[in-house]
Formats: sequence, structure tokens, C-alpha cells
Amino acid sequence: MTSQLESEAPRPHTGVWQDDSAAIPRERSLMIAWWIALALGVSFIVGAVVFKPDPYSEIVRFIGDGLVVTFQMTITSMLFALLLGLLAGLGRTAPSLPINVAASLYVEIIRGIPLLVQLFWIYYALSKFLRLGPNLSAILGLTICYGAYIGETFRAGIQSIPKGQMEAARALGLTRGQAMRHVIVPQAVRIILPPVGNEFIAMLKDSSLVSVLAISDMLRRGREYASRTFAYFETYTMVALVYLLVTLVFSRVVHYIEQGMSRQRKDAPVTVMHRLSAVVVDFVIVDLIATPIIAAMRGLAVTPAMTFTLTAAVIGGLTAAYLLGFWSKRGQTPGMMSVGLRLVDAGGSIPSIGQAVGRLLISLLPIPGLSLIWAHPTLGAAPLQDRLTRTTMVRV
Amino acid sequence: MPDTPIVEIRNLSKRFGDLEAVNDVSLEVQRGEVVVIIGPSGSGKSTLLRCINRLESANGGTISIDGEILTRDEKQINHIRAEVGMVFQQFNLFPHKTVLENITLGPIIVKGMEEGAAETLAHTLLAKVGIPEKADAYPEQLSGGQQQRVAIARALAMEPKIMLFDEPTSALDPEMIKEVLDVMLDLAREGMTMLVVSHEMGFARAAAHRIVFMDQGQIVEITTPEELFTAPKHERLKRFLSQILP
Repeated sequence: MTSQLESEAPRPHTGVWQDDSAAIPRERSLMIAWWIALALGVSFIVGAVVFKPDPYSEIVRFIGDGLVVTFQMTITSMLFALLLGLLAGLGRTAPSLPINVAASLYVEIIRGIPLLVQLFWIYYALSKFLRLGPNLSAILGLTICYGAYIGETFRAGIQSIPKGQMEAARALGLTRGQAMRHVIVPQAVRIILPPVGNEFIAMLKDSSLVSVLAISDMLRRGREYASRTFAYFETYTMVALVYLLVTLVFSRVVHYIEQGMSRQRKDAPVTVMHRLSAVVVDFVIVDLIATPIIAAMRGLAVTPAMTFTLTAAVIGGLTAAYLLGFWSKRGQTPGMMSVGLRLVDAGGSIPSIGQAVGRLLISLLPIPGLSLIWAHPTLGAAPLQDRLTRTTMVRV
Repeated sequence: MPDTPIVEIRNLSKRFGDLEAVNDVSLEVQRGEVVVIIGPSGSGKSTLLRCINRLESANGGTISIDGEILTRDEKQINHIRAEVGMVFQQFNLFPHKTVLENITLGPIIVKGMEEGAAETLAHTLLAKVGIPEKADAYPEQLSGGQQQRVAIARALAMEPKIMLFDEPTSALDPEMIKEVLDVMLDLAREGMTMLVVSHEMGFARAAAHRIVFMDQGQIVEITTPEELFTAPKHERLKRFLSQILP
């Protein structure tokens, strides 16, 4: 893995083509394409909203609510899919035959059925015995489906760790479980982080399928708007562009994670992009942890404002614990670790005060996660309906 | 001091499919003894070593460690493994942990040692293997020789009754072999019981009490370093020596 990625190490800045005979580095052409796509997407959305606010600014606000739901669905499902995937991966590498067969059966069956069919089956077919709401069905469907794929990723990651690692751990007297926990899985996680990041992006896109279950995700919101205004071109173009922008951001983050695997502890230059990527990863992780806590606390809150306050408290507390816990112990957060950054440079050289403050600030940026945004009283389930009605009345 | 040997192997056999990797081998290692095992590749040296801490499970025969016969009981195996240090040809350091963490992992997890005490122990051992300054480095930042010395320190941290070395210098560049052998020589001088699979004749001459020659899964000859070079008895050993000695 290292050697393949090392070939992508940053090259000296001496122009785009320093040598005519050399092939254009894949890394560079991808980077250029990324910037072009980003610039086109952003300028189109901004331009449309500024120069033709009717209907574009309304579309953006309309599908903005849907984007929150899309993230909510993706993050919640991803949390459970990761847990299920870890179980499936451990099951597929377990020495016990029955456990192994059970895990393999799950993976084989689920990977053989399209996600859309699974969603229909859970929501409509299963309702003959067990009636699940659309939200639960959607999360269940995404979780079960992606759990199988992530399980295979975990299995590949675990099996890619050299046999000698397990032997060395066992030779010290660790049990198989202890060796897995302290030696094998931590190494496997580093290897599977990029593919899991890609699964996250894939799920973000596939979550558009849950719109068939009448969930107001981004696609569904777009469809609602378009079917009332007949502005199909405008609406679906915006929906496509927003999906594109979100995906572009995350794909870049995954790219830096991939790079970070090889630059870990090496002296490669650190750019703002690396730091921003670390921020996004921490952002998603804090949200992954916060989501179930917030879901459990929803019952306590009476008013939307209270929901917001409770969410803010949870996110704030988690963030503080998260940052302090990792910084004091390791000098880096998981996000920094995943892209290969440390607060204290490798080799133990302490950064100057200015550097340290800068690094701390940029790591702090993320932190009120997405949960806070979607808990805000002006967003979320209740106001959606109002806005829909309002739009309908104006338009029709 | 009791007379029970640290390792007592009786009629040990290990098959891989049709291959008799170890065939009816018996061997005793006394406390404080250094035994070097030599033999052509595929002669079962490493397999024999790996049976002692149950990285391979034997098909027949018994092994006792300090009087305790190895069973299939997981708990007992883990307990035995904690008392038997092993150093591998490929080092097998944990790449995601620092040198210090590599050494403290076993004591903390298996023996329940306090973190602070484990770190003090680790620093002492690193000084002993001659790289006290590398505690916070990661394995990939070290040379092969340094990595192997960390691996030795990691095994010593469990305070084992015996150390097994499985071709500890075979994966090293020539100029790094000596630094590892020096550490092993120091250990031998301190009275550590050692079972070493290696073709480093210099080490065997300087430290070994006995030399075991294996071929095709069996022990052909057990001799002393002096006799090995001057008076090898078996024809097979003579041929082997003529090939590995310059």
C-alpha cells in the first residue's frame, strides 16, 4: 500500500508539465478536474440564485431542508452500518464455522439484492407482518445493505494484516479477542478508512432512493417542488448540483485520508486542505456519536427551542470530551490521525505557539456538528410542511 | 534450584498434510542453558520452536514448560505463552504503536501491570538493548537491527522463563546482524535460557552450550560447539557444515 501511494507524493512546483515525455500525474489531473467541477458547481448555484432568484432561491431553500434530511438519514444509517459491518467482518474472519457461515450468508444474500428492492421489501412486503414507519424502514434498509458491503471491507482489511502480527500478539500471551482489539483491528481501521469513506459517499448518493418511501430527502423535496411548479429543469438541475458539491467535498476528504495513510509520521508538507479534511472527518465522527444520544433525548424536549438547547449541550459536551480526550492522550484527533497530521510533529519537535494556536483553532472549527444545524427550530420536520403549503399557495 | 528442565519435549510430531515437519523429536532444555538448533531449510527447526509456545499445535507427543504439560486449554496456553518469549525472523513489531507501546502492551494487558511501571520497565529494557533514545519512535522509523532489538525487549518485558529465537538475524542486512547478536550474547551471559534457531556459527561458538542438528523433521545429532567443528559424527551434518561454513 505504501509504495503505491508514495508514487503520489507531492511533486515540486515547477509548472504543470515539467517533462514532456513524462505522463501527466494522475493526482494532478484529478486535482484540476476537482477544482473545475467545484468552481462550475458553486458558480452555477450562486449565479442562478443571484441573477434569477425566482425560482432558484426558492428551490435552494426548498431542497436545503431536504439536504438536512439526507444527511440525517446517511449519518444515522452509517453509524449502524459501521457497527453491523464490524460484526460481519469479524464474523467472516472468525475461526468458528457456524459464525463464519452466518456472516457469509448475510453478506451473500444482501449483496445479491438491489437496495431499491430491499427498501420496497422492508416497507411494503414486510408490513404484512410488521409495520415499520418510513424513517425506520429507510434507516433499516440502508443499514442492512451497507452493513454487508462494509463488512466485506472490514474482512479485507483484517485479512490484509500480516499473519505475524497475530502470532506476535498471541506469543505475548494475549487472547485472540485481545489481539484483535489491540493489534489487528486498529491496523485494519487505518487500511479500510479510505474505502469506508467511499462507502459513506456512495450511501449519501444512494440515500436518494429512500425518497420512494415518502421521506422528504433532497430528491423528494425537489420532486414535490417540481410537480407543483412544473419547473423540472430548474429544480432537478439544482438537486443534481447540490449532490455534486457535497460529494466533491467528501471525495476530496477521502483522497487526503488515502494520502494520509502513507504520509503518517513522514515529513510531507501540510496544506490547509489537509487541515480542512481533518475537520470534516472530526465533524462527521462527532455527529456519528451524537446522533443516537440526541435521538434518545428528543423525548425530553417539549419545544423546538428546547430540542435545540439540548442538542447544543450534547454536541458541546461531546466535542469538548472528544478533543480533550484525544489531544491530551495522543496529540491528535481521529480526523487529524486519518489524514496523517499531529499537533506535535513526528519526532517530538514542539510547534511554535503561533503554529499550535493556529492548529488548535482550525481543528475546533468543525465542531458543532450537523446535528446542531438540523435541530435548529427554523429547520426540521415541522416548518417543512408550512413552507410547502406556502409555496403551493403562491404558485398554484 | 529444582532439577526440572524448563522445556521438556517428548516424542513430538507435527504434520502439515502429508509432510512430517517434526517427527518423533525429544529434547530437554535446562535452566540457564543456551541451545542452538541448526539444519537445512525445511528440517523442522522453526516448527519445533513454534510448537513450544503453541503457535502450531502438535499432532503427537508432549511438551512441558517448567514441569507443566501443555494441553489444549486456551487459558493454560495463554499463561504458558506469557512465560515463553519469542523473537521472530520478521520482527513482527506492531506498526501502529510506538516502540514504548510495543513493549508495554504485553505487561499491561496480560499481566495487568500499571502503565507507569510498565513504562519504567520498557525504558530499562530499551537501555539494555542499546536504543534508549528510540522510545517514542515508530517501528518504521527504525533500521532492521533496531527493530529486532525492540522485538527482543518486547519479549523480555514479559519476564519470560525462556526465550525462543526463530532465525532472528535472517532478515537483516549483514552490517546489522552483529548488533542483534551482541544483545543475544549479553542475554546468554546473564543466564537467560535460550532456544535459538540460527545459522550464526559465531554466536553458536560463543554462547551455545549444546547444538542440535535437525534434518527431515528429526534430531540427527546433539553436540557441543567444540565438537561440532572438530568432530561431527554424522555424514549429513558434515555435508551441511561444508555448505554453510566458508
